[in-house]
Amino acid sequence: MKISILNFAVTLLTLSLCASSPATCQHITSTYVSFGATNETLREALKKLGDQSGYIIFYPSEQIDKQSAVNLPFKERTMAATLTLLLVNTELDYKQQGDKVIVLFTPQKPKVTESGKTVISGNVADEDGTAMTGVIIKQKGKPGNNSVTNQQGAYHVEVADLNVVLQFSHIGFRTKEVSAKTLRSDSKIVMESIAGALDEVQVTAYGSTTRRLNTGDQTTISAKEIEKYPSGNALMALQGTVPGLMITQASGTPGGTFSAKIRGPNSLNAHSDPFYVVDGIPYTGGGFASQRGNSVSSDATTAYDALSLINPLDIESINILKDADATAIYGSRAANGVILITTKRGKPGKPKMDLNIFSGISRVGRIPDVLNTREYLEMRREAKRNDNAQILPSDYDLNGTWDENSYVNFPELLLGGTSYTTNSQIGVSGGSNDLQYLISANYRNTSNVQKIAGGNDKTTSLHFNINTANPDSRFSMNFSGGYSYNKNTIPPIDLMFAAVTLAPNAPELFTPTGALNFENGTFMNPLLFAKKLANASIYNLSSSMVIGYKLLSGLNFQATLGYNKQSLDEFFGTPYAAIPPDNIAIGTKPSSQFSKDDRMYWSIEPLLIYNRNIAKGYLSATVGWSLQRQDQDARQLQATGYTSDLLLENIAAGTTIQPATPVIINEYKYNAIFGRLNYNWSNKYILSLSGRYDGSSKFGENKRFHFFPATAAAWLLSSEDFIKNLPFVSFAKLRASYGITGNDQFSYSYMTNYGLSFGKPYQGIPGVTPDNLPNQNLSWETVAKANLGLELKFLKNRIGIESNYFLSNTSDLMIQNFLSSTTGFASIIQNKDAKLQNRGFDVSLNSQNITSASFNWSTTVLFTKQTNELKKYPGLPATWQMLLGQVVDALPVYRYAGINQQTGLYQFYNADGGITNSPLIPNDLAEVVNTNPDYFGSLSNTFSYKGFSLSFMFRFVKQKGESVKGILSGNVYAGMPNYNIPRDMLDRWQKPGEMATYQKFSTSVAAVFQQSYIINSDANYGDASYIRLQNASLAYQFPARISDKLYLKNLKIYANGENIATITGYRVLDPENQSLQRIGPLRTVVFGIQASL
Amino acid sequence: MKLRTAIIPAIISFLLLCISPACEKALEISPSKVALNDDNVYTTDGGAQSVVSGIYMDMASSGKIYNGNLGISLLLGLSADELINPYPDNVWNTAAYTNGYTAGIAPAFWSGLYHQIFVCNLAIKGISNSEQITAPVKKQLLAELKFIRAFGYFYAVNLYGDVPLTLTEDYEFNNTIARSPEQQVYQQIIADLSEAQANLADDRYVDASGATVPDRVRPNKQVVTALLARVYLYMQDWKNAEEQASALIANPNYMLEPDLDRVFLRTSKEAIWQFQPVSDLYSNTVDAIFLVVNNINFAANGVLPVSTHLIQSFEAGDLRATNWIGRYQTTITPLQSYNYAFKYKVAALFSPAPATEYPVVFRLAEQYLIRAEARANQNDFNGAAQDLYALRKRAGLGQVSTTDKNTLLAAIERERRNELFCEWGHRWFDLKRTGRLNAVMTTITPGKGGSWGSYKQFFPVPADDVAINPNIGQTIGY
Repeated sequence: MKISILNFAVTLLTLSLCASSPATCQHITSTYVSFGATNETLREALKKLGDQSGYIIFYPSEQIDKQSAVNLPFKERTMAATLTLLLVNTELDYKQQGDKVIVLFTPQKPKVTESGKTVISGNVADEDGTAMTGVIIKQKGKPGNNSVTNQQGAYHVEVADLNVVLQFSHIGFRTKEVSAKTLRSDSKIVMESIAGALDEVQVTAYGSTTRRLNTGDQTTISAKEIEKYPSGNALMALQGTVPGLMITQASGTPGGTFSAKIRGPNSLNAHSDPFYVVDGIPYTGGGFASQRGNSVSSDATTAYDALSLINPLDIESINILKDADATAIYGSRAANGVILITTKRGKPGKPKMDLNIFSGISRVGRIPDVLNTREYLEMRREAKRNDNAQILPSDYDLNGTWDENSYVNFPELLLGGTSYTTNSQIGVSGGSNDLQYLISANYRNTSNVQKIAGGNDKTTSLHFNINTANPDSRFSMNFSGGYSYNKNTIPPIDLMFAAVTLAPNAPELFTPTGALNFENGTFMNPLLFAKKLANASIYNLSSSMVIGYKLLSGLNFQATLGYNKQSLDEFFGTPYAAIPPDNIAIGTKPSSQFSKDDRMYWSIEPLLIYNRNIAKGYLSATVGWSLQRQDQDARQLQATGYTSDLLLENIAAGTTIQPATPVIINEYKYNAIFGRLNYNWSNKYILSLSGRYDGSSKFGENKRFHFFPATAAAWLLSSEDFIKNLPFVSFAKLRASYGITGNDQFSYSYMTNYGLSFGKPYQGIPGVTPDNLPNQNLSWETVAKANLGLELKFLKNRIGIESNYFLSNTSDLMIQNFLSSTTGFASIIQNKDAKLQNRGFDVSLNSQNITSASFNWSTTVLFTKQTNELKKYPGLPATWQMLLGQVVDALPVYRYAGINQQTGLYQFYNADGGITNSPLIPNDLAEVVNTNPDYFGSLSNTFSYKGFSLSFMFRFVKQKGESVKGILSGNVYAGMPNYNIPRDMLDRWQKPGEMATYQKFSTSVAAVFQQSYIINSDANYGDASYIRLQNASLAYQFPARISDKLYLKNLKIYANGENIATITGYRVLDPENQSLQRIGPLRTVVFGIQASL
Repeated sequence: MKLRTAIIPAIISFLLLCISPACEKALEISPSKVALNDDNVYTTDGGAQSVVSGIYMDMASSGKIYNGNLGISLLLGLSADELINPYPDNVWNTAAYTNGYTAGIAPAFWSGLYHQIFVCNLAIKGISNSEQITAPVKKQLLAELKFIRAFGYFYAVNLYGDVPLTLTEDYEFNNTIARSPEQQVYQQIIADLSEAQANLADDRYVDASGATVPDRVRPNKQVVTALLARVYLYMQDWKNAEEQASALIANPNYMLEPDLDRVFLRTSKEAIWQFQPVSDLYSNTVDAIFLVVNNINFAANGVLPVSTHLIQSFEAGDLRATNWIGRYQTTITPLQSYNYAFKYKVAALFSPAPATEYPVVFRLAEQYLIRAEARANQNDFNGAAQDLYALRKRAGLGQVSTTDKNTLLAAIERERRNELFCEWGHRWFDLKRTGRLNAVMTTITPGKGGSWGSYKQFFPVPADDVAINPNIGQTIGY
C-alpha cells in the first residue's frame, strides 16, 4: 500500500512538473500583476492592465462604457483574480486564448431544474482573488436550504423563487446579501475581510487554525517581525515579543547559546527547555557536546546553538504554544511549551527572484571602565600598606620589572573591536495552482568582535520547498528541506576577564616579531588561547514531507515524514605559539582536541482528519500515530605529542590519542497514538478535546505508556447578540483550557547502566561499573496546566487586548531520593510526591493609534508576571526546609553584615545573629534570595508614512540577579599582583571607622578568602533590572513608479538595530548575562536592501 | 476510483490495528541500547568479565578506600601511631590523626565498602542467572566475587564492629537493614571464602579467562587462603589460622625476598596478591606518592612522614629501619628533617615507563606472623619463634626469647609493627583485636592534639546514613 501511494506521488509530481512549463501554459491564473484602480473607468483600467501584464485584452466597447467606475486596492494578484474583481457584478466575463484575454458580454438566462427551481452557481473569492472554501450560503427566510462553497470556491444553489435574498457568510468576512435575481448564473461574489489579523492562519499541532477560532494560548511571530532582527538566530526575534517567554543570551560571541523558558521551569531535575518542531519534525535546540567551553571558563553548552542553523530569513512563522490545549497534542514532551517553526513556502505566481542583502557592525554592548596605571599602582601600594607588606621579587608591576609609566587601556584594546556581519539571501519562487516552489540560498559571515583573537563564523544555507496538488485537490504533497553549513574559526577564548583584570602597565602583548610576549617568564600572556587554531563545522540537514490524500468527502489522510541530522565536527589545535616558552623548555609539545556530536532524528506521523457539519456546528476530528527515533553519538578525543604545528589537524600525527569526556551514545524512541476532536457551534462555542497515549523508551516496561488528555473551550462572545449590539466591541472571546502534559527529558534510569571505569584496563580488560540504581517504576513527570484567556477587540479592531492567566502544577517530580549507603548508592531517582507550581498572567495590548491612507501608528505593550513555588518535597533534609514555599531557583545565603570597621574585611551574620568572619554552609544560610524575574515585557511602536516605516521595541525586565559587588568580589582580588579592578571598586575601606562598598585592598590570601565568602551571601544578589532598546528598524519602500523603472517589483532599503541602548542601575557589567567571564550581548546595526525581480 | 476503494479500507484498518488493544505490540519500544546495562551486560563472558574488571579497577584506583591519601593504609596509619599529619587545615587528615572522627566528619570507608559489596551482589546475581556465560568463566568470576565481598566485609567488621549484612542488590531491603552481630558477619566471610577457595585456580595466577599469567594481580586459591588465615587469626581460631598460613608458607611459589628492596616489586616472590596500577597519573603505587617525602612533592601532595614512635620501635641494627625508612631534610629555613615510609620507592607522576612496583595486598611475611601468633597461642613457642626468626633474620636481627607466652606475644606485636607498618592498617587492627588499643592510644592521642575514648576503636557511620536508615543506629559512643 505504501508503494502504491509513493508511485502515485511520483507520477503526479512528474505530471505537474511538465504541465507547469511556461511554454505550454502560462495561464492567467498563474500570472501575477501588481494592480490597482482608483475611480477609473473600466476601459482605462483594462487598458492599464493589458499594458502591465503583457496580455492583449479585447473587450466589447459598448458594454464596457456602460459600466460604472471601478475601484480596486493596489495589490499583487493573479491576472485572473484581477479580472474577476474588475468585472464583478457585471454581465461581463473573460476567457484566455493564448496571450490574449477576451472580455465577453454574457447576459445569461437562469438555468432551471426539472423541479422548476432556478440554478444559481458561481464563485466566491476574497479581496485578493483567492477562492474561498466553506462560505455558507443561506436563503433568507428559508432555513434548511443552505449550501457551502467547495474547495475551488464554487457554489451551487437552487432557488424556488428568484426574489429570495442569498446570504453569503464566512467567519472573518462581512456577510454579503445579494438577491437571487441579480445573481445571474456564473456571477462572482467578492467577500470583504473584516478582521484582518484575527483570521491569519496559525500553525498549530498537526494542523492550523485562526486566531479567531483558536482555543489555546499561543503567540505567532511572522516573517515580517523576524526580518527586523539582524541576528543569525531566530530566538532573538522572540526576545521581548512573546508574552510568557523569557529568553536570555549567555554570551555575545557569534553563534552562542540562548536559553528559552516558557512560563517558568516545570521540573527540578529534568530539562525545562521548550520542545522545538520545525515543519512538523522535532528538532533539538541548545548546545553541542564540544570542547570549546573547556577553555573559556564557561560550560560547553554556551558555545553553539543548534537553532542558529535555521536561517531566520527562511522562516515564515514561529508559533509559541503555551497552554495544555495547544501542547497536549504533543503530549509527553510538551510540558515546557512548544516552539513551532514553519519555513517559507512557494506561492502561485510567475517566477520571481527575491534578493536581500544586509551588512553591518556589532560592538560589545558594555565595556567596563578600569583603573589607569597611576591609579592601579596606587591601589597596589595601598594594598601593601594595608598589609604592612614588603614589595616582593614577584611584584613585577611594582618592583620596576615592568615599566611604571606604560599604560594600555586593555578593555578598549581587547573588547573595543568591531565585528562585521554580511548576510546575503537570494530566493526564487513561484508556481501554478498545482505546483509551487521556492528555493533560497543564504550566506552569512560574522567576524569575531574580539579582533585581537580573530576568526569568524560563517553560515551557508539552502532551503527549498515544493508544494503540489492535483487539480481536484484529492492529493497534495508539500516537501521542505534544507541544508546548512556553519564554519566557526573563532579561537576558544573570551577576553572579558583579562580585559578587566590585566594590569595597565603589563608588558606588551606581542614581541616585535608578532609572537606572544611572555616577558622572560614574568608575564602570563592572556592571549595564549587566542593562538589556538579553531575549526568547527556544524551541519544541519532537515527534511519534511507532508502527503495529503482525500479519501472521502470530509475525510483526509495525511502523513508527515521527516529526517533531521545535525553534526558538530570540532577541532582545536594548540600550536607552539600557544604554549608558554617555559613549558616548551620542559618538553610540552603541540596538541589537538577533536570533538564530534551527531544527532539524528526521524519521525513518521500518519493522520486521519475528518471534517463534517453536524447540526449547526462544524466537527473536526483527527486521529494519528507518531513514531519517532532520536540518536545522539558524541565523542571527544585528545591527541598530544605533535612534533610540529603543521599536522595538528591530522589526528594520526599525534603520538598519544586519548578519549576525553564526555562520550555520549544515546538512543531514544518514542511512539504515540493521539486524537483530537474540535466542535465549533455556529462560531460561537468551540470545544476541543484531545488525548494522547505516549510511549517513551526512557522508562521501564510497565511505565512506558501514559495517557495525556486535554480539553479547551472558547466562547466567542462577540457572536452573541448582546455583544454584537455594542458598537464599540468588535470582537470578544473567552477561552479556557486544562490538560496534562508530561516530561521525559532526562537520562535513562529505569535500569542499571554501566559506565566505563576510569583508568587502565585491568589485565587488558576494560572495566565497567554500575552508575545508578535502577528504578523500574520511574515514570513521566506530569504537568497539569490550566489557562484562562480573554481576547477583546474594540473600535473596529483598532484596540486589542489579550490576557492570560495560567496555573500549572508538576507532580510526580523526579527527584534524587536519598538512600543509606548500604544500598551501594547515596540516592536513587524516583517520582516522588513533590509538587512544583508555576503561575502568573500576561497581558498584551495592541492599539492602532492612527490609521490613515498615508500615516499609520500602532503600539503594542506586553507584560508578563509569573512566579513558581516548590510546594512539597518529601524527604527534603532539615537544613534545606527553608526552600519549601520558595521559587525553584531560590538560593539559601548568609546575611552580609557589612565591612568590619577595624579590619576592613567583609563580615557576615551567623545563624544566631552574631557576627562572624567565617560563616558555615549550611548552618549560617539564614536568608533566601529569589532570582526569578518579578515581571518582564516590552513596548513596541510602529510608524509608517507612505513608503517609510519605523519601529522600535523597548524590552524591560524587573529582576534580582547577581550583584556587581558579588561578581567583582568573587572574581577580582583588588590588591593582588596583576589584578586591575573596575573603577567601581574604588569605593573601598581605607581606614578604621570607615564604611564602604568593597573591602580593603590587600595582598593577603586571608583577604581573598574573606572576599570569596560574599558569593554565598545576600550581598551577591541585587537589582539587575533593565530597560533595553532591543530593536529598532527603519525601512523605506520605493514607490512602484521608481522600482518599475529599475525593472524591479519591489525595492526596499532598511536599517535594523539590536540592543541599541540600555537603561539600568546595574553598573560595570551587562545586566542580561551578569558575567565577568563572558562578553555580554552585542550592539548591532545593519543596513540592507531588498528587491524582487 | 479503484485505487481509492483499495486505499481507504487499507488505511483505516491499518490505523485501527494500531489503536486496538490487541496490538500494543505496534507501540512496543525496544530496550535502550545505551551502552551496557542490566539487559545486556551479563549476556556474554566479556560483559561479565568487564564488570569484575571494573571492581578491581575501583579497588586499585586512587582516591578510593584502599589506596592513597584516603586509603586504609594511610588514614589508619594516622589514626594509630605510625604517621604524622603536617596539615592541620586538612579536615580528613586531622580527623584521622587526632582520633577526632564524629558523625559529621566520618571516614568514607562506609560508603566505599558498601558500594563495593553492592557491585559484588549485583554481579553475583547477574552472573548466576545468566544462561549465556560459559561455565568455567561463571565458576571463576563467581568465586572471585565471593572473595571480594568477604574482603570488603572483613574491613567493614573491623572498622565498624557490628555491620549490616547486605547480600542482595535490592535497594529497598538494603535501605532499611539493621546491623548484624560481628559473629554472623564473620560466618558469612568464612562461607564466602570457603566457596572461593574451592573454586579458584590453584597454584597459578590467571587472567579473566582463566589463562595462566605471571602477574599476581587476580585472586587465586592462595590469595583466598591468605585472607582466610588472617580471618581465623582475628577470630582467634588458632588452629585454622595456623593451618591456612602453613599452606602458604609451604607453597614453593612463595618465598620471603631476601633483599628488603625487592619485597614490593612487581616481580616479588613474596607477594600473594597485588593490585595492577590503573592510574595514568600515579604510574606505580599511589601510596608512594603520599608516603615518600622528596623535594618535589613535599607539602604539595600532602605527603605524610612517619612518627618518631615508629622510628623508636625499631631495634638497633634492624635493616628495615634503614631500607624501609627514608630521611629527608628541607632546604629552606627553618631546616626540618622528616622520616618517611620508603617501602615503595617509585613516587613518579605520569611516568611513561612500565610500572616496577605494584601495590601489595597480601604478602608471605604476614603469613609467618599469623602462624607465629597462632602457634604462640597454642603454646608452640619454638614454632612461633622460628616463624619470627624468618623475618628477623632478613632484617639482620637475631632470635627472640621464647620463655613465656606474654613476652612472645609482645615480641610478635612489635615484629608485626616493624614488618607491616603503613600497610593496610595492620597496626591499628592489631592493637584493637589484642585489646591493647585503649592503653596505647590513651597515651598517644593527647600527643597528637586529640583525646581518646574507648568507643573510638570503632568508627562512626556518616550522620546522613543513620538519619536515612535509623535501623543502622550510630556506632556506640558517637
